[in-house]
Amino acid sequence: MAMTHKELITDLSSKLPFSENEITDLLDTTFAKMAEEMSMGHSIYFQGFGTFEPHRKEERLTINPRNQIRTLIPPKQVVVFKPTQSLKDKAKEAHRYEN
Amino acid sequence: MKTDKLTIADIATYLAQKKGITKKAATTFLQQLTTTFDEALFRDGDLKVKSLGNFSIEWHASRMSVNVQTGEKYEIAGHNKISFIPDKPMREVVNKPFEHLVPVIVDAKSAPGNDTWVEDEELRLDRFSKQAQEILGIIDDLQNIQPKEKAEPTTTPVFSTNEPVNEPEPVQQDASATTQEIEQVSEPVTTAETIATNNIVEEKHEEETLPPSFSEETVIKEQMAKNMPAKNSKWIALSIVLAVIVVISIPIYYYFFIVNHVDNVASPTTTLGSSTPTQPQTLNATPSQPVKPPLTATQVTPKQPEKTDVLTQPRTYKEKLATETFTVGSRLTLMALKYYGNKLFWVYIYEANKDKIANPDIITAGTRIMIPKLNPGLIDLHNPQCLVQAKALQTAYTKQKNIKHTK
Repeated sequence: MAMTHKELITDLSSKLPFSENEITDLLDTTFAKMAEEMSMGHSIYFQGFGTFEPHRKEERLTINPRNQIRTLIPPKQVVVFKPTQSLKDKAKEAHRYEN
Repeated sequence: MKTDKLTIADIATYLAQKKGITKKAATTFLQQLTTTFDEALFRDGDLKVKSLGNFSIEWHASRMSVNVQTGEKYEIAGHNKISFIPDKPMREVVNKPFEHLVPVIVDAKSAPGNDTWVEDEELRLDRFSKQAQEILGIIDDLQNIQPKEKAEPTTTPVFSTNEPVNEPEPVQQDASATTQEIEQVSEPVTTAETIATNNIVEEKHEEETLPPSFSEETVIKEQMAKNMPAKNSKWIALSIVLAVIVVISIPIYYYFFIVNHVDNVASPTTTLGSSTPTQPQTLNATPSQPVKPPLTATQVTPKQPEKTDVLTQPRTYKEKLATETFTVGSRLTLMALKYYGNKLFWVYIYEANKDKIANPDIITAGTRIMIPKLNPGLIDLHNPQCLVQAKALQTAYTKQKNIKHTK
């Protein structure tokens, strides 16, 4: 059972000297800042966790196999998360997750 | 795009500025955040963070692989991998520099092979329906004429039943045999003006002359001849036979419309419409050319071996028999029928007017056409070789155009 957003906030506020409202505010600000930085092409590194990187996908041509209509898909920028090596190893060594 | 790599410290500085908290508190917050993420992720196997995205640990089953250096096979053991799918708001913000771009349809070009195939099929269907309409028209004409006539049915079924078997030569010989006799008898009446009267007179003659010409006819003709007194039932039988023939010839034509065109299309029309009834017309139109019995005596018409020479000779069209102006209903075949006595000979009119007629199927109204005076040996209705030759030419021209000619 995945952790809900509310549970995350409760968990954080219990461990930090911030109220739940403050945590909510801080989270929103953090994520907004991350998105903004990534939209400018900056990656964000969280030590011990991983890096959020913006990846640019080049434009490409697609052909609809049904009606053969060719469409030019414009370039776009997507978020890619690269876990740190320690996290990857931790995941590898962990028990088998099947969900 | 790794021009700049922000760390927790950079984010903490920003948070401290923005929210008026100490940099240390902000750093602690971010570190606690990642720790919580880590814990939750490994506890639950997945982690959903609103406005950031979904993390999940996914199991990748073991698989075989090959060492590209040594070509050695080895197994990649099953393992977990962390995947991350960003939330929609996050994706939208990150993609902001490119959000104004939309997919563009380059062209609506379909596969060429597919396209032409469809066109081909449509064209064929078009031709096929045209053909069907023409055949129906001919049947209608025939049915309109039939009540007046007496003996016509006896000749038509013979030709029509022979036609699907693709035996043009024997048919033509039969035709010439009967027509010869008819002419001999009907020569006195050739002055008769209307075709209708001609027909009736002729049919009567034919009735009389049928028994002698019987030897080569088919069993069907015998039966038809016996049935002659029963006019009504015979008439119905004829229409049924015709309908069956039409039904049979439609698919045959559809599949072999180029190859079998002559047999399926031209021969019924020629045999049905032209061979017997129009004989007097030919005599009228070319009075100087005597018919077969006195043929040997004249200087123009050569004997049988010489006729084949006429056929093989290159044809020239210097002398003009008449000039016709093309109207909406005009057909080369009808002109051939009028002047030469058989629709098949349209090919010669076409040859003589090749400079004016690009496509024998499509002739614009108002085109003036020269009807050439032909060597009688070339259009001798009694000589099956003439008909065969005309048929061959017709096939050649229709193939050449790859479109059937319209009658």
